[in-house]
Amino acid sequence: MTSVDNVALGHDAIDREQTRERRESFSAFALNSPAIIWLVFMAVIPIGWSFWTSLHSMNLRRPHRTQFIGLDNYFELLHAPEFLNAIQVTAVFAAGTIAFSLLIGLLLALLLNEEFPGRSLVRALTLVPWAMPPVVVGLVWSWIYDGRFGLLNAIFKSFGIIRESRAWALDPDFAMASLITAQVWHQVPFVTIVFLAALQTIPDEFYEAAKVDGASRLSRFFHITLPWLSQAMLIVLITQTMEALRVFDLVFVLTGGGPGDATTVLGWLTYTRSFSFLDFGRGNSYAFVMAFMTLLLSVFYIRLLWKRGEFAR
Amino acid sequence: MRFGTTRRKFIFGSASAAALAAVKSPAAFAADKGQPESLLRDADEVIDFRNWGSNPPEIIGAHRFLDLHPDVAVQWNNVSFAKYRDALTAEFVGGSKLDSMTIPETELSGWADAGFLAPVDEMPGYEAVAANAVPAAIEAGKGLDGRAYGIPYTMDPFGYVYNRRMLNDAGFGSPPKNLDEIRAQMQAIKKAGINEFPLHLGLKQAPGQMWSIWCFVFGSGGRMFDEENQPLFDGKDDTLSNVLEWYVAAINDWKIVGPDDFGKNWGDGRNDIKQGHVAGGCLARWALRFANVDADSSVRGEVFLGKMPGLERDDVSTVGAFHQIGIAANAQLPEPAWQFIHHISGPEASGSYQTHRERSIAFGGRAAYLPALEHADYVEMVKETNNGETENYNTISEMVRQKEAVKTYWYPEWEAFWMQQVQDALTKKVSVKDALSASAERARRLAKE
Repeated sequence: MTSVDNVALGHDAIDREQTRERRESFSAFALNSPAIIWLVFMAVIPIGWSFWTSLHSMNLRRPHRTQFIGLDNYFELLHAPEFLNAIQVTAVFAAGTIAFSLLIGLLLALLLNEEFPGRSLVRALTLVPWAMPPVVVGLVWSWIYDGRFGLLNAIFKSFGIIRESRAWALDPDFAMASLITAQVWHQVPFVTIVFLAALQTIPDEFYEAAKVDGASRLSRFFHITLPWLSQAMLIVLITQTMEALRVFDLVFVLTGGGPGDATTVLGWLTYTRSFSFLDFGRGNSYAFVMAFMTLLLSVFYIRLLWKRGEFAR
Repeated sequence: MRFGTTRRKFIFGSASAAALAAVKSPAAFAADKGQPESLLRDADEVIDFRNWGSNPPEIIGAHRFLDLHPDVAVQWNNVSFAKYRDALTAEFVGGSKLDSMTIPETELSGWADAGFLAPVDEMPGYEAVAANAVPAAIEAGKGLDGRAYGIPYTMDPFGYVYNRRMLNDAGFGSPPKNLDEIRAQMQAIKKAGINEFPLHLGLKQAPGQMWSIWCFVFGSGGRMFDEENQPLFDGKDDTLSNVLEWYVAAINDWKIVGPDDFGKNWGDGRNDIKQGHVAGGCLARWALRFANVDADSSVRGEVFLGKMPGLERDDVSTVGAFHQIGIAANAQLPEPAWQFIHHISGPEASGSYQTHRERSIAFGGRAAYLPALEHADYVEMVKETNNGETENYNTISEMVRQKEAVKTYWYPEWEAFWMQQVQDALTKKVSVKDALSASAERARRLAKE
């Protein structure tokens, strides 16, 4: 066989290989096409359309006055007092819910990671709030906070903490705390489960070696447990931030954004702008800003935690 | 003993039952003449109608219409009131081919301005309809261009509804005539331990709520907007400011209003008075049926209707809600659609207002036409729901007015902002003056957009 034959053979092999790759690639696309088409129609096009709408002055109460205005909706909202207030309210809500969910979830996970009688039952019961839809959570807490017949008033009155009933969710001093409490109650089970799963992967040898080295319980927690939980913490932070930024159901049922604008979070403002005022142009711009903020925070968390703990090994 | 069955029998049985149900269901629905589905039949013309609710008198009335028009059928679609505005707006924008619909009072002018509604004032018989309706209800059917886009469907004047037994137990023999008397009566009821928070104001932030504020402002002879829909309440007319100052004291100092009132709409107030949880409040007068007639009421026969107390007197005016029924601008069947709404909420071909009257009676009194209001059956219903006292019921019909600026396209957005400001003022986060200045400024800005 001459070198020319070898070269021709080589070209044939390359051609065959390329054809095979093309065929495989085509097959892969063909097999995935239903999912891709579904995604394009159900996510890509609506998101694109939503962004396009946000570039318009579009109020369905005045449909004949719809016009393209570029980024004006985005510039306007930076000066809109209600939007800036909603950012502030959302930040307080997010900080409160994330901090308390994280803390309580971690403590519960540490507790449930220990051996004690009835542990399985307690673990199952811990999940109950998470299994409830947010609207039901809102309804349950609206009865607890009720100004006339609420459980909280009854308890506080029986202990002499208050003399007169309060409508906790509608009181300007307690509305945000009420909202945060309900959200934390709903989210803690998820946080607990994520932390618990991570805790169960920590090898016992680490603790034993640390004990041999004379490390205290606190030192073991901060130098073994906590770093090992970084990955779980990342998941919790991202999911809880998303939950907090997009909260709507609880606000809808518990406070309606009030009293005044004390609990008007971004999700609620977006809803009222879009569906109460039918101002879809601005409503969509609010939604995109909300999504962008979530993305920014997620990137921040990832940069903060990605190289720590388990990932660093 | 074995109760099991084979898989084959189970599947066969289930499929047979499902097939039978599928075949029988339309027939079963059609057989029930109280159901909207019963209005569909093979016909040359099918009127596509949207409504936010239905009740048997209305549907039965529609059957009478079908009897008179053998070539017509009605596709009657119900949408819940909570979703009605969004759903209808989406249908209009999407070019849906609906013919006629009921129209919330807050939407009529906006829908007309957007070109969704057809004017009805040139339809045959409109003048007779207008002549027999309560004037405020006819005015409410007009758009900003002065043309009529609907005919009255319901009229709900608000009055001061009070529990007479509670008032008597606290030492009062007659309802309050002004806000000072409300204060005195409610404080006495509270002091006597009859009710901790006896007054309902309904201060929930929700579209179309906070009726009590409009009640007391109109009851005091005040105005919130002028004819050009420019705000008056930040300087030219102090009534709203005075009413809100009274509210601040009622909530924070006298504590005659419950802490949960910020979460209550007028429907909650209707339930609260029915359960004896409050002693008084501003409610649409058909609420009396719930309190005095319903079998599950805790206060049957104890609740009465008073005129609307103002800052000084109780014989000035009050507010009301006026929903309409109309025709879509792109209706495929405008003439039959007009005949249909003329039948459902108008004089009908017979001139009897029968369907309108029967529906109004079923609801507890929401009639908007004088022939219906004066009919013996209706008068009997008013006597029953008002414990035999009908004078105030009739007086309120004469003094009722629609909310101001409600016809502007920006009203819902202004209202939402105003409600926030009101709640902020009532919780003393801002002063009443600042809340009203901000609200007026918002109204002016929105009007310019």
